[in-house]
Amino acid sequence: MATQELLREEPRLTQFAFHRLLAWLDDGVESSGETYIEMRRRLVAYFDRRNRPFADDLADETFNRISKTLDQSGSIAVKPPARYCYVVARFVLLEDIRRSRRFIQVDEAHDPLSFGPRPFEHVDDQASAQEQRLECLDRCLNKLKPDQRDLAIEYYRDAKRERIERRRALADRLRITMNALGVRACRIRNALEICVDACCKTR
Amino acid sequence: MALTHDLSARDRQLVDYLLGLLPEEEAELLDEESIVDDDVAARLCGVEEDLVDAYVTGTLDAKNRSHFETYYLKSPLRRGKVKFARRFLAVVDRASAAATPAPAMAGAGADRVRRFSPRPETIASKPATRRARFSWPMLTAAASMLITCGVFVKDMQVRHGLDQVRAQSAAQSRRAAILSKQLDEARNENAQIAEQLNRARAESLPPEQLSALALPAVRPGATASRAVVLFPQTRSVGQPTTIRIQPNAEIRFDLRLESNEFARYRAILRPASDNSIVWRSAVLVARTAPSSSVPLVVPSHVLNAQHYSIELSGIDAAGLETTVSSYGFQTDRRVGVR
Repeated sequence: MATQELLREEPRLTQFAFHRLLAWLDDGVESSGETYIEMRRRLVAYFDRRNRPFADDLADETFNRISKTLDQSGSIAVKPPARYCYVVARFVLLEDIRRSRRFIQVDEAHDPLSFGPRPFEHVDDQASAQEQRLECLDRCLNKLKPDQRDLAIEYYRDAKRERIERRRALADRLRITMNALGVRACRIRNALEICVDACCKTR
Repeated sequence: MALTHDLSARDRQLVDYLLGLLPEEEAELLDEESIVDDDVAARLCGVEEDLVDAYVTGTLDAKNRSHFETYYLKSPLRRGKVKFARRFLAVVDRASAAATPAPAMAGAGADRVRRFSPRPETIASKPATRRARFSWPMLTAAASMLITCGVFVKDMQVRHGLDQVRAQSAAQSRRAAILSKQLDEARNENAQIAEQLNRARAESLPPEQLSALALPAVRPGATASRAVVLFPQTRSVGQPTTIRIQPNAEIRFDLRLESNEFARYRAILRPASDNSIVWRSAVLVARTAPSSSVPLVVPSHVLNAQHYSIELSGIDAAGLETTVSSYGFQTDRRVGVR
């Protein structure tokens, strides 16, 4: 059974289970779901770097399993929560690799006359998709708070040496470390990517 | 952190990690740290963004660029990051060129002007003789301070204007580079289409076949083998497909796509022993049924008995090529496909 079909059969988290998962991830420091969003991002990136085609589904599967453990045991001894997330994610990864090795398909050669070109409709669709994404990006940028928008523009402009100097100046102006500035900028950029994806799907 | 040769050793390691260049043990350690360690996760996010931005702006060095195209761009999610970065940086360029002076700077400058300007009531209340004796030096001092502050504010405005001009110039240079590349690609494509047209005319093909110029046609007299299906390479090590070829044959490939995001594609053939290009295809068109794939015909005369990699790039509406997948195989110059 393919990864997506298998993972779709698993029941989604109930609201209660989801809140319990958020609380466990927060580990005593209320984050309004930010810790969950960040952990999900890390897990998706991990599965993607391991070249798994359904990284989003595997991240969700990881959270499903953790939630099941919380449901059955009440608590998880492994600390910090991020370490347990990695342990479970690693199992999920290995299972997914084993599953995909069992179901590699080999196809026969095809009739060469079936290689029919349909270039022009794709080019038009691509141009309008690009236009749509640009509009969504503008919308999402406008949704940011002004200080977040200014930070994003200042942090990501220029290249090479000018970029480094500008970021140092920005960190000085905000009276934070370069690392802290990097964390803020990454969060804003990730949020923009998610916003643009969501915007494009609804249009 | 912007991606330059001044990277710290740790950041260089993270770049190698993202480009699939680390040994497996080191990569596994970083896999764990990327999830468990907040500092490493944050650093990795920043390094990855700067790596993608460097690729998009064409400032990535040749070695990293090659690994970026052959490894990093294999994933649809990561290709999505590159697409987002292209649009995002274009918007950032536009916004930074139109930005007004930072409020902090303008405020500070204005404060300095207010702080050093003389109060009129101080001058007006003094008796005329004393004013005549003591006000001129004060006025002179105040005036010279005013002038200095004015010059300072003007200097800041000029510097800011210069920054804006530099930003606009950089953005224009990038656009010029993109347009120049598009022009070259259009010229190459025209030359290839003209060649195909001439060949078709010489063979006196029926009109309906003349219009299908993107078809990977088999040359007359060449032997066509059945299509060899190749899947995108992954990190896991496995035996590549071995293809036995014979002289004057053409090898037909069916390159499976993880996702069909482009209307047109181009393939480049590289030997595994070095990074050279031994053959480049014309513009290719993907098919969507029964599965997403790109048909490709490679003449056997360009192939020797060794490992090869086919790099497949998608061509977007602007004519820019982005590597989407690579496919490995090896050849054996005897009859048939193993």
